[in-house]
Amino acid sequence: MVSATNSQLTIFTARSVITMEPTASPATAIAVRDGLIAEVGTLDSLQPWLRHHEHVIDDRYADSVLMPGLIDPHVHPSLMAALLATDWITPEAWDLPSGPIPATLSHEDWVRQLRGLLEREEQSGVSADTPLIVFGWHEQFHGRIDRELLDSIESERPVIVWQRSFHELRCNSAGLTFLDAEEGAEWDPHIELDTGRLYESGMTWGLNTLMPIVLEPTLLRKNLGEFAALVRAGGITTIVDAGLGNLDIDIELGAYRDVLEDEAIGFSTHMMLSAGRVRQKWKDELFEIAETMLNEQPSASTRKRLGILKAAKLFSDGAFIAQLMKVGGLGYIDGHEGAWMIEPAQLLRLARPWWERGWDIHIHTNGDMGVESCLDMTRALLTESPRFDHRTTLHHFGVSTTAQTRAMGSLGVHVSANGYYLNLFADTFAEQWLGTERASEMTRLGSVVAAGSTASVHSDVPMGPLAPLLAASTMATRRTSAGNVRGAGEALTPEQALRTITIDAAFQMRLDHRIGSLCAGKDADFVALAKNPLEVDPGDWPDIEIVGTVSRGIVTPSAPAAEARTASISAGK
Amino acid sequence: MIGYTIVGGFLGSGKTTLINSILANAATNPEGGERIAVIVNDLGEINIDAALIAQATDDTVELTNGCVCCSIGDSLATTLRDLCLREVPPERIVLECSGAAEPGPVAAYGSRKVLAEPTIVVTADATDVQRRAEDARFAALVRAQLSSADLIAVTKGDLVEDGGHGAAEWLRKETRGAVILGRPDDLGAVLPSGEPDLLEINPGTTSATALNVRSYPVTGMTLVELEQHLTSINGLVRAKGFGEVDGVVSLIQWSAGRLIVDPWRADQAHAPGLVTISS
Repeated sequence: MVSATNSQLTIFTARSVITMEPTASPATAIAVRDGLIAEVGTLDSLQPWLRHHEHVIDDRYADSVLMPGLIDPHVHPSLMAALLATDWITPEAWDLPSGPIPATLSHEDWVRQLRGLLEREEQSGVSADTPLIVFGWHEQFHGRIDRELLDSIESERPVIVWQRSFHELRCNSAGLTFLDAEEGAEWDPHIELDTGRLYESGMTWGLNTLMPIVLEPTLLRKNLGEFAALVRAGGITTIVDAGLGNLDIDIELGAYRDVLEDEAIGFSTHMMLSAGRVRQKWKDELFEIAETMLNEQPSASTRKRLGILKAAKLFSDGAFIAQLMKVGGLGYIDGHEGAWMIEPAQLLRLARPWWERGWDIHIHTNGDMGVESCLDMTRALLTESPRFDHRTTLHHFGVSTTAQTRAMGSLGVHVSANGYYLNLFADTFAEQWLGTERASEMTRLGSVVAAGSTASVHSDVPMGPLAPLLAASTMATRRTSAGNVRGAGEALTPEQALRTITIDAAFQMRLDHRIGSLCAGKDADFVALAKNPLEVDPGDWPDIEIVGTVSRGIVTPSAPAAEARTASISAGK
Repeated sequence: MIGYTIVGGFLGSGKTTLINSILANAATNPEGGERIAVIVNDLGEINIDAALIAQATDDTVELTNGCVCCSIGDSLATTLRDLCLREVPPERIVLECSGAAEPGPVAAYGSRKVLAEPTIVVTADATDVQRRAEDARFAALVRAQLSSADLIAVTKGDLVEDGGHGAAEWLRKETRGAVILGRPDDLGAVLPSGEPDLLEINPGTTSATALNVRSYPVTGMTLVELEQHLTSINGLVRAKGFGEVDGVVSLIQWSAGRLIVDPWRADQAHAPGLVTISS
C-alpha cells in the first residue's frame, strides 16, 4: 500500500556506491525518501521498494561514485567567518568564494601583495581611516614584518597584520594608534611599540578593538554564508564546531541560527561547548543552560540543521604551529619549553563535572606531555566514576609515543588528528624543532588504529582548508607538501583513511547511527565524486573532482566555478 | 602610587588559603586600614562572609569597606588597568598567580605610572618544597617561583616533625627572599600590610632563623595579662588580631614594643584570633 502521506522515493543512480558498511554488497543505487535512506543496493535489489512506492530515478550522478557525505569533526565557523572579513596573504593557496588566493612564499612577494592590496583599495575609494587587516603572515615564509617596514609601505592608513596562527599582530604606526597600543604598552609587556608587535596577552588587547569589526553582525552573516560555500565545495555534509563560545557564544549562536539553520544550506552543524568559556559565562547555571540546549537535536525528521553535541571541549598543552606544545623526552632541539593551556591537575578538575554528568570529553592536545595529561585525566576519571563507551577523543595529536597509543587502545580513547600538520610542517619541524624521528611520526594514526582506537582527521579551519580528501590522502601517503614521505610505518590503508572522514569521525561524535555510512535508515547524506578513491592512488585524492553533495536527500545547488575547485594547499609545491 | 603584591607558589602550597586569609583580614579592616583589591584566578575558590559583601557580579565582589575581589578575566593588563582607573582606586592590589605561573614575568604587567614595583610573595609547602625543587618535572618552575620571591611563606610546618624549620633553613640558603613560617590562614593578618616590616627585618641577613607566624585565640585576658603575655614572647616583632580583653572584643595591635587595644563593635565581623610574628 502506498500511504497518501508518503512522498515519493527518489532513486539516485551511480557508477558505484562506497557505503563504508563492512558487510554491504556492491551497490549502484540509493533510494531516498524524506531525507532518509530507504535502501542502498542496485535497481534490481531495490525492486521490493519500487514495486510498492511511486518513485523517480535521479541519474544526475550516474557517471559518478557516491560515498557518505564527508565529515569534518573540528572546524571553527565563527573564526573563519571573522577572518573572511579580512584580506588574505597566506603561504598556502586558498579558493575563497571571493576569489582564489595565491600561495605567497617569500618576503618580497608578501610586500608586493600588500602594496597591491593597498593600491586596489585606494582606487576603489576605501578611506584612509579604515584599517587594512591582513591575515596570513608567517615568519617561516615571509620573513620579518615590523613597524618600520610597514610604515615604509603605508604611512597614513592603519595596517594591521594578523599572523597565520593568530597569536600575533604587527602594525604600522597608524595601526598602533588605531588599536590604542600606546596605552596598552603601559599595561602589557607583550605590546612592543618599536617593532609594532602585539603578542600573547598583548593580542587580547588588540582583539578588543578588532573583534567588533570582524564580528559586525551583518558582515558576520555574509561571511558565514561564504564559509558555507567552502564547506559544500569540500564535499562535506557534516561539520562540528569544536568550541562554541570561543569568541562569544551569543554572537556566534545568533549568526549560526540565521545562516546555518537552513534546510537548504547543504550540511549539518554540530557544536561542542568550549568548556572553559561557557563555565566562565554561565557560572552556577552552567549545566542548567547547557543541558537545556541539548533538547533540540538536528535530524532529518526535525529538519533542524544545528545542534549541541553532548560533548565538552577542553585544552591540554599549547599550539602546534607556534611550537608551544609540551614535548617530553629531551624536548625541543633548541631547548625551549612548551606551555600548558590547562595544567594537568586543572584539566582533571575541569573535566570531572562534565564526565560525571555523562558528557563526552574532547581535548585539544599537541605534544606527548599534553597527551599524557589527557590519559592521566582519563585514568583518574575512569577510576573515580567508571563509564563504558566514553569516547574521549584527543584532537590535533601532533607528537605522541606508541606507549601512549597502546594505552589509548586499552582506555578507549580516540584521536581526531589535524590532517595538515604532516603535509605543511613535518619538513620544517624535523629540521628546526623536533628532529627527524619525532617530526616524521607526527599524527601517528597507524599506531592509533592498530591499537584498536578510531581515528578521524580534521581541518581545524581556518588552520587548514576544508578539504577532507586532502587530509585523508596525507594520512594514507604520509607525504609532505615538498613531496617527502615521512613515517611510512604510520600510513593508513586507503580504506582506513576513508573511515577517518566518514564513519569513524561520526563514531567519535556519537553520530554514527545517523551518518558516516550509507545504509537503510540513515540520513541521505552523500557526496558524488568523479573518480572512485579506492581505484586511484591515495596521493591523487585531492585532485578528484567533487561533483556535488546531497544532504538529507536535498541536492545542493550546483557549485559556482570557484566553489567546485577543490581548495588545495600547495605551499612549497 | 598603588601598592602591589603578587602571590605565587606551587599548586597545593597554600596560596588560595593565604589569599582567602588576606581577604578575610581586609574585609574586617578597621577604619583607616588599607583598601585593597584582590585579583584571583578563580572566584569560585574564594570564601567571603556574605555579610561583608556589598555587591557581587559575575567577576567582581565588592566588600562593604571598599575592598574588592575580582577574577583575572581575559586579560591581566585590562583587569589591572580597570582597577587602577576606578573612581576610587584601591590603595593596594594583591594578585594571585596560577600555580603553574612564574611570578617574575607577571610582575611586568601594569603601568609603573600608577602601580608600584610589586612585592612578590611565594608560598612554599614545608612537606615537599625541597623534593619538588629537585624533581626534574617541577624543578625549573619551582625554583623560578622561589627565586623570584621577595618573601617566602613556609606553610604546613605543622605537618613535619621539625615544624618546617628545615625547609625554612634550606630556603634561606637557596633564595634571596625573607622567609617566614606559619599557617596560610594566619598570614593574612600580616600580609600584605606587614610586608615592609617583614622585609626590613629580613631574617636572611639579620637573624639566624626564619620568622614565625602563629595565631591563637585570646579570651578572658585582662589588658595587663595580655601585655605580660606578649612581652614574654621571645623575639616578638609584631602582633595583630582580635581577642576578648577585659571582657570586650577588641582589635589588638603590637608593634615596636607598643601595645594598642581598641574596642571592636560587637556587631562587626572580625578575623578570629591574635597573630604574632616572632624571630
